[in-house]
Amino acid sequence: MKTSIIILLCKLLRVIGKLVGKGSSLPGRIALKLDPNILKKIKLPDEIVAVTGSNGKTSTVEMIAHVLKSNGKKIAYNKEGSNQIEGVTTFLLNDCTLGGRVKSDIILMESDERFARHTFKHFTPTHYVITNLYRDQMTRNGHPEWVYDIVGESIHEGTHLVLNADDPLVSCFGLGKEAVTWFGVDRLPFSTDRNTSLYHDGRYCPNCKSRMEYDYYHYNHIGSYHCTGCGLHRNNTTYTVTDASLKDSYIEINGKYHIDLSFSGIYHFYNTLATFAICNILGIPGEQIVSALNGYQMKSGRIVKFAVGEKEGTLLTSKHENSISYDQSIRVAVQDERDVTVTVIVDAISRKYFTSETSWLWDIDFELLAADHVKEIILTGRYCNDLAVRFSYCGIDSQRIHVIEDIGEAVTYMKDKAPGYQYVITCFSDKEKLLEKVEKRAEE
Amino acid sequence: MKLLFLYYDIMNLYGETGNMRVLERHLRDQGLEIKIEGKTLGDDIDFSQYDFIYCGSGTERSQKAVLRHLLPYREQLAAVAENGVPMLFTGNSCEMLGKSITDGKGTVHEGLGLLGFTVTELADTRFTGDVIATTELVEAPVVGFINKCSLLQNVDSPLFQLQMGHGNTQDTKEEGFRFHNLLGTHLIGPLLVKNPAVMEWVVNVIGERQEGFSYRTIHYEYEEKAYLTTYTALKQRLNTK
Repeated sequence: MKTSIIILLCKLLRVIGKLVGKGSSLPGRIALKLDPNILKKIKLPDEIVAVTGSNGKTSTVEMIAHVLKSNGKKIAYNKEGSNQIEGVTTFLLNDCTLGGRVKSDIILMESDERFARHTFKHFTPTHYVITNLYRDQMTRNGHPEWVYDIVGESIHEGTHLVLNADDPLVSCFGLGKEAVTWFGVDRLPFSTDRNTSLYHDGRYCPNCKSRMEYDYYHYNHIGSYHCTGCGLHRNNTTYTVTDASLKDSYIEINGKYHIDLSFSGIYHFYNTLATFAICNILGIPGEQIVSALNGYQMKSGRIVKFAVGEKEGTLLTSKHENSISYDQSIRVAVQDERDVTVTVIVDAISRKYFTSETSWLWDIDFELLAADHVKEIILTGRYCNDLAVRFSYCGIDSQRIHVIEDIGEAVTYMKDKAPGYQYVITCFSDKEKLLEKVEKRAEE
Repeated sequence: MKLLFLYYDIMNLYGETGNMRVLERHLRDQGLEIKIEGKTLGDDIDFSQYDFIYCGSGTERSQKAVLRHLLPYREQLAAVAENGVPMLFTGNSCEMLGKSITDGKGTVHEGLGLLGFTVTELADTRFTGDVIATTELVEAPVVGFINKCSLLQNVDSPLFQLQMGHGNTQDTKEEGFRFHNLLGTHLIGPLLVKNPAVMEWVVNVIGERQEGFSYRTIHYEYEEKAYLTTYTALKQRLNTK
C-alpha cells in the first residue's frame, strides 16, 4: 500500500480513536501491519532525541519539550507515554504530511527501557539521554543489569549519548565510545561521605565486580566513584550542577546558570540538569534555557495538595516496586519541620499487571520516618499487613503506627484524629483511591 | 549461636535482608542468644563456626563473582551441609550449589557440586511470577515470587510442588531442592517473612542445635495476616484463571 494512504488511514483512526476514548497504539499497529517498514519510508527530521532511565524520564521529557517549544522549535513527542513501537508509529505518522515528511523540527521520545531496542530497529535517535538505572519494577524488569543489557541493544553507531556520569552502571554505556556528553552534580552540602541507603548497588563495579570506592554520595549509588579493579570512574562532566539548595529550591549549572525550581529534591536537580544539557547540545543558548525553566511548574500531577476536613495535606505519588522513588517521597515528609502524619497506601501493586510481590518494601528507607516530628503513621490498603511487618523493624514506637486496611476508614482517621500536616505516599495505581475521598486543592 | 549472612552486600537483590532481620528477632523471641556475622567478597570464611547460613539473590554477573570466591570452600561447605547444619539459599544463589552454570553466552562456570543438578541461564528470557507451593516441611501452602532467567536440570530432591509459578525447568511443577537441612529455592518474598510456617520450621531446626531447646508458640499477628492476604489473593487468581 502507498505510504500516503497508510498515513491518511493512521490519522483517521487516531481521530476516531480520540472521539471514542481509545488509546494511541491501535492506529500504529494497523499501519505496521500494512507496511512493517513504514517508519523507514517517512522523512524524519534531523534531530531525534530519546530519553530513557528508571526514574525521571517523564519529567525530563516534559521539561525538554517545554524548553524547545519556548524557543520556537516545533516538536513531536509521545506525551501520552505511548513508548512502545505501535504508539510511537501513531505519533510519528500523525505528525507527517501526506507526502511522508515529519513536520516537526525535532522528535522527542520518552523511551521505555525494555522497548527501546525494538523501536530503534525502525529508526535511530541522534541523541540518547540516559538518566539512571535503579531497582525498578523488578517483577517485570528483572534487575538493573538485566535492563542495562537490554538498553545496550538499543544503542546504535552514530548516536550521541548524553549520560549521567554519577551513575556507575549508566556510565558503562560510554565505555569505548567517543560521542558521549556527561552530566553530573558536584560535591554539595547535602552530599554524604557514606552510603545512607538500605542497600548499595554501587558497592561493586558493574563492569568487573571489584570493590568500588566513593569520594561522596548524593543518594544510593549516585555519586563520585572509582573502581579498585578495572579503573572505571566518574567521568569529567561538561554539564555540572556546581551549586544547589534543597531548602531554597535552586540549582546553578556550570557556575553561571541559576535556575529557580518550583519543586525541590536532588532527583529533580538531575532531571533539570539533563534537560539543560540536551537542550544546549541542540543549540539553545544557556540563558534561554534558564528563562524557560525558571519557576516552571510540572504538569505531571505527581504532587497533589488536598484538604480533608480541617486538615491540609500533600499526596506524594511514588512508584510501588521502586524503592528510590519511595525514599524520595519519604525525604520530603521528613524534611518538613512541622508535625506531620505520614500515610502509606499499598493496595494494588501495579495498575498494569497483578502481583502480590512485596519484597521491595525491605529496600525502602522507612527507618527515616522514626523522626520525632512524624507524630503518627497510617498504613492502609490490601497489603497494610506487609507494611506493618516492615514498619515493626523501623525503630518506631508501635503506639504511633495505625494499621487500617480499608482506605476509606484510614481517611476518616486522618480527618478526625491524625495530628499535624498530612503526607500520603503511594503509587499511581492507588492514588485515586485517596483523591476520590479528599478535596483536591492544587497539582504540580 | 552464630548465624552467617553470606554476601550480604551483593546478594541482596530482592529485599532478602528481610529474611535475616525477621529471623534474628524470631530466634531472640525464643530466648536464643544470636550473633549474625556478614561475610562477603574478599573475606576469609570458616564455615564450621555457624549454626545457620543464609545467602540471597544477585544479578547474574554478581553471582559469578561470588561463585569464584566461594569455590575454594566447596569441601568445607559440603561437609557442613552433610552434618545437617541448616542453610537457606534463595534466588539464584541456590544455583551455585549444583555442578555447573552455563551462562547466557554459553560459557560454563564450575559449580560447588554439593548436588548433581546443572543450571542453564537464558540471555533473553526471564521467568517471573507469583507462586503457591506445597512442601513436606510444613502443612501450610507456601507463597512468594520467582524472578530468574535459569533452568535447573536433574534436581533429585525438589523442595516444592507448585500450584502456581515457574518450576526448576519449564516442564516441571517441582521447584528448588533440599539436601539434609539445606534448602535451595528461587522463591523470594522474602520467603521467611511471607511464610510464617517456613519461618517456624527454620527457627526449630536452628533451635534444636542448642541443648534443652523447646519451641514456644508465639503469634506474629501482622506476619500471619500478611501471609493470608497474599495466599487469598493468589488462590483467587488461580481459581479465576
